[in-house]
Amino acid sequence: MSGNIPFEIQTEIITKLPVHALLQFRTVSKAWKSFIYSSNFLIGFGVRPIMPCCLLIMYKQGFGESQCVCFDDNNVNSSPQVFPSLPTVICNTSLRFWNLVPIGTSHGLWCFSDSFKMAALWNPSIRKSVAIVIPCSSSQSETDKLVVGFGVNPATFDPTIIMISYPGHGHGSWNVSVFTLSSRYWKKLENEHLPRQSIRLKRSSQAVLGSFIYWVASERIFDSDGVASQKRYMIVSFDLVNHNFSVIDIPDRLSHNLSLKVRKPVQAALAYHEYLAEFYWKYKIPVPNENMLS
Amino acid sequence: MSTSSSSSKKIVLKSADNETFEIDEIVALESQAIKNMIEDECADNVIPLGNIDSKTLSKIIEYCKKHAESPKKDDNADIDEKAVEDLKSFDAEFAKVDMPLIQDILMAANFLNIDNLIGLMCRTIADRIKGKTPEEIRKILNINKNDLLSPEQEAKAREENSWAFD
Repeated sequence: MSGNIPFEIQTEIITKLPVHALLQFRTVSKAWKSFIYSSNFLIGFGVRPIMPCCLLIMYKQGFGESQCVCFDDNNVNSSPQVFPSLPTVICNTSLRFWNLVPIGTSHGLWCFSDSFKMAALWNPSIRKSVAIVIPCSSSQSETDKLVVGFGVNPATFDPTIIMISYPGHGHGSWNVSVFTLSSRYWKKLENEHLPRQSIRLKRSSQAVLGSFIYWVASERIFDSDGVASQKRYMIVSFDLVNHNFSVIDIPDRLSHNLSLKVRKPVQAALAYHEYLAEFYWKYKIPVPNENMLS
Repeated sequence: MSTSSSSSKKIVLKSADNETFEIDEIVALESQAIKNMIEDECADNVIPLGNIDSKTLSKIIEYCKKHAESPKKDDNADIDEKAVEDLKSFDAEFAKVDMPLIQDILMAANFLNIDNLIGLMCRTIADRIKGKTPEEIRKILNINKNDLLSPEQEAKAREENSWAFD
């Protein structure tokens, strides 16, 4: 039998190769290169945890390039994975890697955002990234607060980004769009899938566990005279599979406390990130062990 | 074995070099393409396979026989673990052939639409090429010369990922 193996079968072979081999095989042919760079490949091959729990540190060496180090924080003595070059796509866009704020990590992928105008998905295991423009709706005003969430749908392995905006002061309705990498499209969520519009999210409290993104949220309670009396805290979750929100109440004893006190029990169940210094931050979050590939 | 092969319907496959192979229909049904032909009643007694030579075809029949004999996963909930192991070691032995034959089997399996066999051959090829250089892969897979990167593009790709080449 003569002839070449059709390309769609070659792609079957490519997806069965180990990561380090793929990095070299980008130069096999134009078709191989564009396939390994394609977003379908990122979805199909990329979504996998590289380590159960990882710590990412970015730092600048003098005035030189930024560097990233990734290591397992349960085993700090294990040799860290160093990424001396930044994701190419990010370098090619207006995104300044240094200005990126981590949004979340799920299934081995990281999501960053640059002042909530652009998002970047980064897959450290194959050193690839995709830049995504965050939509700005016409009804949005400058004082609106934006919350960006990220998680991988565990049913389809589809990386999903969610953009939430609502007025920064006072009441006002939520405006929510959901982006999936497979569709490359932002879809506006209908009101029936949204939580009460008086709820506000804490941006820094995001965590992904299973098929949900969780945030700590709060709501002002008004007394009968219409004066805001106190804040009540709760947890808001977003279902990555069915694309709807739920509100989880927390015990009364905790829900009226100041945020810092509320955070503690939440932190035990969820995870949250901390900024250390201007040129040095780390971000820590447990990645579920399910679906771990060898 | 409960399924007696003596009474079952026979199918004849004819290779490109005019060799004929008489097999049980159940074995032929491992191929989705042949299954469709039989279901659509457009298969005569002899099915000519003008692009598969006898060497490749006999390997494919060997594979289909073994897999048709093995209990299917959905047949029986408490499937015999020994049978699964047996099939695994059969697959491993089956794949111990040279690269040109592997590729011929892969192309034929693709033509005949035998999913498991396509998967086995792809895994085998991936396993054999993972330690090779891009140049060697181009040769092995006979990549079209028109599809190669220019020397500049290749140098650029290598430079971008220089850390990946250590």
